[in-house]
Amino acid sequence: MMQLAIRRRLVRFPWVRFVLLSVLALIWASPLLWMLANSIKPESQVISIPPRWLPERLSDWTFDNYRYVLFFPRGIDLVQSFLNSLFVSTVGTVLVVIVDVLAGYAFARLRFLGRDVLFALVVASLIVPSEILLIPNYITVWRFQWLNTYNALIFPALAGGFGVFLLRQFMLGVPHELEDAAAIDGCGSFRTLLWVVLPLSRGAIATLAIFTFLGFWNDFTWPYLVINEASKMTLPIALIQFRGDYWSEYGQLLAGAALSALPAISLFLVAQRMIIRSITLTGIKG
Amino acid sequence: MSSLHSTSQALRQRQASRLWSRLARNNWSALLYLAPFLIFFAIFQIYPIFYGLYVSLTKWDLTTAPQFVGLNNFIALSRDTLFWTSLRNTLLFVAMNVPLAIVVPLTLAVLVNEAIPGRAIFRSAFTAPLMISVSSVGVLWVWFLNPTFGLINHYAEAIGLPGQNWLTQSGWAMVAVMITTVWWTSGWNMVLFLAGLQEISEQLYDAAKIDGAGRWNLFRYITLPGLRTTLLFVGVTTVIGSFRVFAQVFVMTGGGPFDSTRTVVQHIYETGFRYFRMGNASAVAWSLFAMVLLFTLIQFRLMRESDT
Repeated sequence: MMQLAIRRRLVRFPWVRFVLLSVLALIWASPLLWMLANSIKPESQVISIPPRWLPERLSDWTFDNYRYVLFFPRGIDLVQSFLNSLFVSTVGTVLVVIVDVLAGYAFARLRFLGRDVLFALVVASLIVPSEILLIPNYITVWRFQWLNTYNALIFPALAGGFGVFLLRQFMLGVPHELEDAAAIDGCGSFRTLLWVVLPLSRGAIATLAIFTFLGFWNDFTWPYLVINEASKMTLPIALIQFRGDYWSEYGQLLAGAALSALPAISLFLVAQRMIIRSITLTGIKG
Repeated sequence: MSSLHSTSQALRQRQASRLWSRLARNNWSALLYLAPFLIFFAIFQIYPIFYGLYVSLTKWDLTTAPQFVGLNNFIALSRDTLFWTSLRNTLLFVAMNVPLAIVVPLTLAVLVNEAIPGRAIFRSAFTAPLMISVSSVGVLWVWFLNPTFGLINHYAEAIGLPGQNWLTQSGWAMVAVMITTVWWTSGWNMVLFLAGLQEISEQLYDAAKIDGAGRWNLFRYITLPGLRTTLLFVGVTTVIGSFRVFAQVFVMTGGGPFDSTRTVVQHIYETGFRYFRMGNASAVAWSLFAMVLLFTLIQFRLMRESDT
């Protein structure tokens, strides 16, 4: 009887799909696994013909590549770049959230002259590709004498309309009754925002924050343009510089690439559901 | 009667003036909320659109004053062979990448959508590459694709396919960039497809199964029509995104070999910031915008039609 149940379950199990998915997932994971596997090999074994996954002896496994990259930098200091990235991404995300919460609330709840026209302008700005802003914004940043400063990385990012749009749409769905109650209790609009609307918008704000953080962390084109001093570089552009310095030391180069990828991947593992939801929300943007 | 009329009029006047003062107060307080955003929005989003248009009508190297030259930059663009090369490469990338960037994520989404053990792990494997910066992707794949000690050729030869000098051969270089892009970005469209699949009612499948529909027919007659809106959206955004391709190519090949992977955005970048010809670069940028806008308008048109 029990054998029959087990057999039935085995027959029902979607073997074809499972095997197919496993093969695909292995293919997708292999570049990352390959990077990790080789970053912990001794330098002399990283390049081998034919390529090998494991070191010659398992005891050859070593963290030397990471040690050299972190503590004895020969060219660019990735620890410094890591700190730069962390600073820019954190401060930038906090500012984007504050600015967008205030504006999103105004668009969702306050009545003022020209609100709808202004909001239409914000939505229209979402279809403008950032490439046409590259040159004029570079000139602006150059005039402000912000080249090679964190200002150049943070402030232009506060102009994006996506967060305002996202939060406005979300706040429209927050029930009015709670705010009316707060108003009766004598709360002004700011305190209503702070104590009623903000806690209810936690989900949307977290989504925006994670997305903004990843955007800052991984941005390449704009930082590559406005930063060329090694001490101010964020990780993505530092890594390109680093590749120039370590052209022949693949093990250390891969350790550097792994170090810059790890924080984003860890964030992904922790907040995966939220990130996946935020991709869906960004999809709505169009 | 007339006194009643005048009181009601006075009342209305008082109400109106109160409304006005409230409106004025509201305008001021709204401005306080909006000011932080509007300042940056104006400086870095609205102003540059018009300023960029102006720059495209000038000859300017940033060291001397800009010279107004009318439409000369656009005329020069039509004779710029490197621009046409970049445009051809970009169109080639769009043509190769778009079908794959739809079919691959759609396949993954359909496979992952139904309950299966380890579903979360599979989904993570396909979406994790999205989290990595383009530089890490570049470093990793340049080495992965290395003809002598890279894994791709090793496995390709193991199953009988000829190895390639991926990044140093015109033609194959763009294919290599495209493979990398599909690996890197498929998770994004897969997530959008998964969201679309959730919208399709389970009952439709049950009903079709009772009618004896096979796996393919279920996909063909229920899944695909059910994903119509998602497919439209994904299709158009993927076309637009592919037109804007730059960073992964730049990091992997620098546009080579022999400009065979140079894209329009790289042309903007180098015209502007290597040769400091701001006017020419802005003209290229606006041409790209025109192409992207065309597809955005097509998207809106299609979306509206699919709504009705």
